[in-house]
Amino acid sequence: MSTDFYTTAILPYAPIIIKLCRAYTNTQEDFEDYYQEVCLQIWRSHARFRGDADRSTWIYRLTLNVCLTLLKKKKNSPLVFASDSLPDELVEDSRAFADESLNLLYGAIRRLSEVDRAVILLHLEERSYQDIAGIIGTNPNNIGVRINRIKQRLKKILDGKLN
Amino acid sequence: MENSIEYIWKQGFLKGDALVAPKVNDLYNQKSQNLLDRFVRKFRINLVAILIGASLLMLAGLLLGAPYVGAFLLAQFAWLVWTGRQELRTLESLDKGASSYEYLTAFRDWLHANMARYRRIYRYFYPVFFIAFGIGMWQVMDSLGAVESLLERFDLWMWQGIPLLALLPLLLLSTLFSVFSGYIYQEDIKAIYGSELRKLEEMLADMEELREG
Repeated sequence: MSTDFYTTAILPYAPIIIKLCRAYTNTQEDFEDYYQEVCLQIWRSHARFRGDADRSTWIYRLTLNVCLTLLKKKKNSPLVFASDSLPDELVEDSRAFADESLNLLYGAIRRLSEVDRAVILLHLEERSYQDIAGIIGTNPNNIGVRINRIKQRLKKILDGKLN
Repeated sequence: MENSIEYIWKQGFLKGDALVAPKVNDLYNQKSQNLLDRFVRKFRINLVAILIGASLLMLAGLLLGAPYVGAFLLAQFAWLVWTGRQELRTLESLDKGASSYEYLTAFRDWLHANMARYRRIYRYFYPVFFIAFGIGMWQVMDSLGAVESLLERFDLWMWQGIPLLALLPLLLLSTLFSVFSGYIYQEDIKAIYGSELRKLEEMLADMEELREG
């Protein structure tokens, strides 16, 4: 990959990629693997970008699809989805953010299902219901209800920790 | 308000180096760990292996006195590789920039269609292969003079120049492969990717629930 392509076509969208990848990984090593994989897929797929959606929406879709289908080989076991390798009892990030509340929020988000993680991350990124539905491929009418349900669940998880 | 998740999210990214991109190394030469890309890689390796095997069979046929059977087997495997190439093209054309539901559904549908297709192909492929291979072996033995001495020692129930007794195990083997090979292919895929496929179904079920509400 040319440095130019990375600088001009990927780096401006790095915040999107970072925020999504962090929600599907638990260690710095996994996070870097995901980030690298997303960059690789952007490079491979950029010719297919038709411009029917804005570029950031396309990056969200691609990043999410990579996060949902990345495989890792666990020691002494067959392939597994990388996001599945998170131990339930350990959802804190090995590389913490400077903001403790954000760490707790990410920890809570990692307890959600893959699809719920996507929904809430896109909501936090201030995407409209229409956008969220377009990125995930669902019905916008049901997004609001799902977001409320997820927020209640996150609140329950966070309440004990924040207060 | 101060404790809302939206507030935590916004404020959290204002601090420190939360959004600094990690260093990417030799990205262009990295092997993708994506489920779909792994399928593509495995598929491609299989096709090359089949072509090499078929070429060796052709060469053996030429050297050992069964050139027509060798050529037939090469053609049979070449057809298998050609259909595999079509499958591969479809798989490679799946768009990772599509919505997650479209992307995952397209992959699942491809996978199911692929398994059904190979179940059908192998039902006929293996009987034809074993019968052609058996004829080739017979021709090779004949060219080496082994058939004559075999017929002197054993009664192979010859009928119209066909050794019926030798044909029976061949037919039995062909039938077994015809019945079970598609199933074996399907189980092979499930053994390697079973947990991912279950996970895929779970994610799709969740998305479908969101679609239908």
